[in-house]
Amino acid sequence: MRYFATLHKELRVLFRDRAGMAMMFLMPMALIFIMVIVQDEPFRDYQEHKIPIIILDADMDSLGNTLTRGLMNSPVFEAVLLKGDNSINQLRNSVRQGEYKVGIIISKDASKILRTKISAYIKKVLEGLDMEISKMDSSKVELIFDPVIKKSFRSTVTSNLEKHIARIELKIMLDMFAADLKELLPNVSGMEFANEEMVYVIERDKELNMMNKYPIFNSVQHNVPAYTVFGIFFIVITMASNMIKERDEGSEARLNLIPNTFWPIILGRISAYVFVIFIQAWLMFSVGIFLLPLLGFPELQLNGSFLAINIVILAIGLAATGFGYLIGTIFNTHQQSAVFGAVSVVIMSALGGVWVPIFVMPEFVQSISGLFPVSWGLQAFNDLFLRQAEFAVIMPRISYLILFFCGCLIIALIKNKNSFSGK
Amino acid sequence: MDNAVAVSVEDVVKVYKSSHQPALNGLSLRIDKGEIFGLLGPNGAGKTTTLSLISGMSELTSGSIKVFDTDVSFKMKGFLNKMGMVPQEIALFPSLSGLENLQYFASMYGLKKEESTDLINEYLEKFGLTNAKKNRLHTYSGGMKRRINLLAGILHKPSLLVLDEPTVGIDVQSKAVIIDFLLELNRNGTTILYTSHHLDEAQDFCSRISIIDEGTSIALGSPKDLIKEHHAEDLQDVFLKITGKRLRD
Repeated sequence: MRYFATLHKELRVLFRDRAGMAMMFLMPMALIFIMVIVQDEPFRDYQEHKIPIIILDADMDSLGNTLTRGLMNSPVFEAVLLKGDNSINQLRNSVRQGEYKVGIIISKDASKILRTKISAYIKKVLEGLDMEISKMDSSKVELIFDPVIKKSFRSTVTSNLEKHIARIELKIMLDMFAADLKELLPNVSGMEFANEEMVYVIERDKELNMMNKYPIFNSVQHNVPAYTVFGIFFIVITMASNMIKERDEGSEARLNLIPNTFWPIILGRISAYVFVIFIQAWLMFSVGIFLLPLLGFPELQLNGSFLAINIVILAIGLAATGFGYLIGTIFNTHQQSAVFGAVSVVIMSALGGVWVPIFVMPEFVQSISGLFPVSWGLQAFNDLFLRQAEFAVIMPRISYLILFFCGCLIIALIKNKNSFSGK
Repeated sequence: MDNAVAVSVEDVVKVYKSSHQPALNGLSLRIDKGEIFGLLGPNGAGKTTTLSLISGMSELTSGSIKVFDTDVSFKMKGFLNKMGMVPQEIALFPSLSGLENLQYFASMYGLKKEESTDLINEYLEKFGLTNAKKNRLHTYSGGMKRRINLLAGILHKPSLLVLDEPTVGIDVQSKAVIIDFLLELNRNGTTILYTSHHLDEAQDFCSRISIIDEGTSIALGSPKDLIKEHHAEDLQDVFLKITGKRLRD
């Protein structure tokens, strides 16, 4: 009865605190909207989003034509073509101004130089001529990058281009080799080489992914669970503040004078906050499922059983309320608890993978990110939503969260006991 | 221990960890059942410390305190069931209504809803708070809050009621209602331990008083006896004669 009275009282106090409610519900919701919008572009992969490039074909021969055609038909690039060799400045300016991410210059006579070099190789092989081919001029394809683009992006573009060029080189080489062989062996027919890929790189389970069995890791799939966990942990500020207020006003001391109320008060308070956390978490998920698709973003995929998701919410809720209880016990003023609570949650969130996924963090940060309860909670959601993990897989993370809750509570109780003996 | 004794304070010393000076320095008191006992003294004399030791909120440095024959230092909190505490602060929940505050404290005292509802309504009626009972506490006047603060300490009908300055900062009407109500409780058998700086109020209200200063009792008796003993006009005169006019922190 005392437990339910405290639960009821805490819920009344919480729901009547408009500023606290706004912090618990509106702030994480606003963060989800903002972060999904801001991070949508970086999260889209290159298949979804074509890279704008500009090509200057000063060659206007087979290499230039084939490469240009290949790039214009590529699903990776959105290519615009300039012709003539006097447009280099125009190309450079449009890339520097960010209109295009990459400028590609196929140098004049590139095809001619390539053919000369290939011909020399063939002659060397077929006729045994003693030639120093490495000293001959090479064809050039030059790249100009938008200065703001990342190193990994440059690598993607360069490797795509090299792949195209390698194919063209091979084709020209095989064609010329076939022609020379035909000259040497005029009576032999079918002297043609098939220009096709011999080794394929294919993605296994692609069909399953396409069927949304394993959802694509996108801005919604990262940010909604991430800022849900962040919002859950931000409850520590409201909780600690309410505890300190009750201590300052004397109601805590007054309740301590009523026998058999110690555990009902603690458990009633924690239960009330965990109840609010459940509402908060499902509200955030609803934003990902119903509201974000209306704005053109992907729908949040909630894989994993309903029970498992709720167990994860419960474990995160306990960890957050345990932390809030500890802060509310240790600190004496609202200012101290609010500053420490906010800063600690922001740091835990940054290192725990809320702002950017852990796998893109530096190795050192990755090694410490696993130490924070925010990370355990977020990884448990990711295990369920993205990897459709079994309950046994998320069990260790749930255990860590519950141990964190117990640890915080024990420290808070010891602190309480010491404060009492000091009075 | 004598069955007629409600509270016994024997040679109590209390030194806070943050201070070298004792807050209480060998204080001894005896409060009989059915008394209205006033604990008076200048600021920092040790009144609030005494109340917090009696209620078990603080630990004694030395000496002993018994409440209804239970030694409070043994951490047996059973005696608290017989005790009601009304702190000087408005120790309530401002975002709850007066009624919700009282219902919550009634539940925490272990009262069933059916037993507490009538009692709460009766008390609210008596204190003129029926019309405002559903308003949030933060909208109440100082006097209304203090009345609810008092009610929250007596819902379980304690045998000993400890009041720390229950009439501080309120108007004459609220004060009169509170004092009348306390007298009625006392007539019904509740022992009252009370601190105040309102010496005229204490003179009329208390059956016995102890004036304490620097952590020890320097005068004990009925107001009438103390006035006579110190050849004073009233209790305030007694107070100034024995504690002096030196300002205290």
